[in-house]
Amino acid sequence: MLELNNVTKTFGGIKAVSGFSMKAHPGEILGLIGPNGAGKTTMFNLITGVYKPDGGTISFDGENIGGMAPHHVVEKGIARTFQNIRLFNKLTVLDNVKIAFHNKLHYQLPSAVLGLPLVGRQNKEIIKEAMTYLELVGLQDHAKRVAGSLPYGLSRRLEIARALALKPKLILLDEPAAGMNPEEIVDLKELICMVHREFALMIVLIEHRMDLIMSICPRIVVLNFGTKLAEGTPEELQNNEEVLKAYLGEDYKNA
Amino acid sequence: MGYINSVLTLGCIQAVSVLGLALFTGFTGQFSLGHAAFIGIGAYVSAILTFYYHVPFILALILGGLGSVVVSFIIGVPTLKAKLRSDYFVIAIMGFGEAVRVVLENLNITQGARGLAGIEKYSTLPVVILVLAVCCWLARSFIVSRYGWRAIAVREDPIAAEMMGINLFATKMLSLAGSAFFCGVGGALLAHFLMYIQPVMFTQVQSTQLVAAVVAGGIGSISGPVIMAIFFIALPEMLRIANMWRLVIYGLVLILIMVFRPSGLMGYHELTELGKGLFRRLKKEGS
Amino acid sequence: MLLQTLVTGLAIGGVYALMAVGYSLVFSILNFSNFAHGVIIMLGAYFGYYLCSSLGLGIGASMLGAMIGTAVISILNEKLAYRPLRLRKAVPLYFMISAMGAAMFLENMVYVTVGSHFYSYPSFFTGSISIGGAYVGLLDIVALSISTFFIILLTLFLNKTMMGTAIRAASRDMLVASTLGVNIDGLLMVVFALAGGFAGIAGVFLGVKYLVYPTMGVITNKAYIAAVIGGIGSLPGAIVGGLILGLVESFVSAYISTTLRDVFSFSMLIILLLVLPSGLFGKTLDEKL
Ligand SMILES: Nc1ncnc2c1ncn2[C@@H]1O[C@H](COP(=O)(O)OP(=O)(O)OP(=O)(O)O)[C@@H](O)[C@H]1O
Ligand SMILES: [Mg+2]
Repeated sequence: MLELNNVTKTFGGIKAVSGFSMKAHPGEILGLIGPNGAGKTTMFNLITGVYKPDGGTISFDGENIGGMAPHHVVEKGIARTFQNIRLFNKLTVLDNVKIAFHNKLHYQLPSAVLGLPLVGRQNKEIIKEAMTYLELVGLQDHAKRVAGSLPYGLSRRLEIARALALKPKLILLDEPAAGMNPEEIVDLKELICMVHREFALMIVLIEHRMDLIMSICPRIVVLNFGTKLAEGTPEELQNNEEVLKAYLGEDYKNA
Repeated sequence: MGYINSVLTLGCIQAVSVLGLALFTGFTGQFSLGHAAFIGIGAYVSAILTFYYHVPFILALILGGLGSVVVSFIIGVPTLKAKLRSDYFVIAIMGFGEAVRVVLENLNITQGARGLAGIEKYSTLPVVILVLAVCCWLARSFIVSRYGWRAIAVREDPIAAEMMGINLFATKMLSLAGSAFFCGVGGALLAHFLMYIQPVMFTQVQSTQLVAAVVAGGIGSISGPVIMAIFFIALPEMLRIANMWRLVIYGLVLILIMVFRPSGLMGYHELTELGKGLFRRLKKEGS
Repeated sequence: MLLQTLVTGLAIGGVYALMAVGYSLVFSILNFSNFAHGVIIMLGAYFGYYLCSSLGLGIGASMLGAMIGTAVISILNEKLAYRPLRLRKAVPLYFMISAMGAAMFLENMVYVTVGSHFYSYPSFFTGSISIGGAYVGLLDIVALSISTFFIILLTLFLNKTMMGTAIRAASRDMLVASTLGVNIDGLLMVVFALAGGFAGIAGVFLGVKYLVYPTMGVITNKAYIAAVIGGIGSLPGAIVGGLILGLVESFVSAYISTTLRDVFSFSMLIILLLVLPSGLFGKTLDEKL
């Protein structure tokens, strides 16, 4: 279970997040919405240790992870994607996923430096496993391509594959549908639902595309100016005055 | 013959050190203006071992490399901490290089600024080529292992790398230690080639020459920087270009590469790929 | 002895501050270490030397001339070696390499054109005055006053003028500044002219105090070290860092050992970084994702 309690983060006087609390339960897909600059991405950065919270606690499976270094947070079973895609652009699609396995290989530095055959063998086995993640998101035919040359939609899928390859318990998706056309969004929706089922994942999803979020998230948290504005099922939120005023009023109609 | 022989030897020795910086700059994306200090430490440690204690050369070579590794932790641990701008490291290691030189100039065992003379000549061309080949093998193995993946991920995008569970500090520190090892070995070879060493040989000028070879050879390549290292030593020697003009040209080359061709001679590629590609094409034509 | 050491330390510290300010200013805007800065200081020393010894100008006019000369070189440096990278949005590593190339080029151009001779300035400010029984060098007092004067001038410029405000905005966020209609090329020209100009004055002081020679770079490295002590990119940091470095050097030379001076300053730097990883005034970076 992910639990945020009274979390606060300021940037040179600007309160990006203030006194925010929320819970996400195992196996849940939780939606996180809010107008631009509401503090959604900052929330992900706080959970993953990219930023240290100025106040409050963040716990995951009963353990306090607030302010923990990102690589330790990953070890606890949390993975994420980025709003502005951050792939290893110069590497191949396959290598991007392969990197996720760096902690799961068994050889040590001396054998690596000497280039012993067991290193090559283990690396090869990883390739097979990495390929299964590429197949999962439908990128198997692009494995040898340089990641930087992928079109937008596929880059987003590769980021998801890379995060899944970490075998996380919780995955944080930051606007995965941004820049996708309607058909791609339908595919993405299927992908998210499928991995949610297959891996019994807990997912927190930030999205501006209301159609997507309303259709796959049973529960949604609305953020405005760094604080929680509302929380509830899609139906409840659609009838919530405050939410309509702050957010849906402009966006929902044309979505 | 003797002349070409020694130019080539010097080139290969430089290539060993350049290989070290290629690991740190080319594969881990970190910059340094102080790696000459590691060459100096390797040179002095190994020379002192063979000169005063008659330690076998091969052992002195390895201990020279390890001596640099130890020193790399002194500078690396406080400055490479995650989240800190790499500029702090670059400047600290630059100051560190100066400090190392001052220390070498003031110790008894190094015979101060006069330097250490009368070192045995062990670094003949075959020995140096052998050591270079071994070092290339070690570096290559490192790069294609999970340790190399981590380094490359850090170079490509440190934040994404952290979110892959990579410890930024440990990864950078390991690359620094590895690069210090190669520079140390390069220094040890140098000492046993020139047969004398002085602290002034290990200044920032030497550090910048390493950077020049790595950048011109190409970020993310082993063979490129190695070729460039030999080329940069050998060509001006052969053309008898004065040392100072050589550095003027290096400087200009660096700017031009950054402006027009940031990938250098063979950025992100290896000579072996070229060989493989050629082989494949020949096979295709044959069948 | 104590007072004298203090004033000497403050004087050289003031010069270090002048050197560090320009470097930090560029860093705060372009986010990379401009390693050509040290060489431009060295050029300032040469310009000043030629103006006062070959053309027989006074120290004031020589200083002004050196400032103009280094400002021009600094602007050219930006236009030729950094601007193309800037337009391409290259990563800081590439800027640093290009800067190092510029440093190598300029330093060795001095070697091949002027040679590696040591030159000394005509004597200026040779006297000393007695304050409370201690003799304090006139040069030190002049250096300290002029450094203070220029640093105050810079602070006023950054805080009281339109251009200064634009520069401060750009150091917060270049992208925002450019979308607000700030002309980045023009702004950087001013920034590099300032950095170069400050380097020029510092160079003249170094030349008068020590000697003029191509590898003065070893001294000019102290610009970078002072900036790291204070926190790279912070102007107050550059000033405080410069003064601290100057004082430490002066006291170590006076009371411990001149040869170990640099080792001491370096050890201090390392210990400081262990305690305060981003220097005295540096910010830990929360990169915006
Ligand atoms: N590193 C940072 N430094 C300074 N301010 C920041 C930083 N990161 C975020 N902010 C500020 O915090 C606020 C919240 O930003 P955040 O990116 O979390 O919004 P968001 O909800 O993700 O918006 P969007 O929907 O546009 O992605 C904004 O005002 C932003 O400018
Ligand atoms: Mg966001």
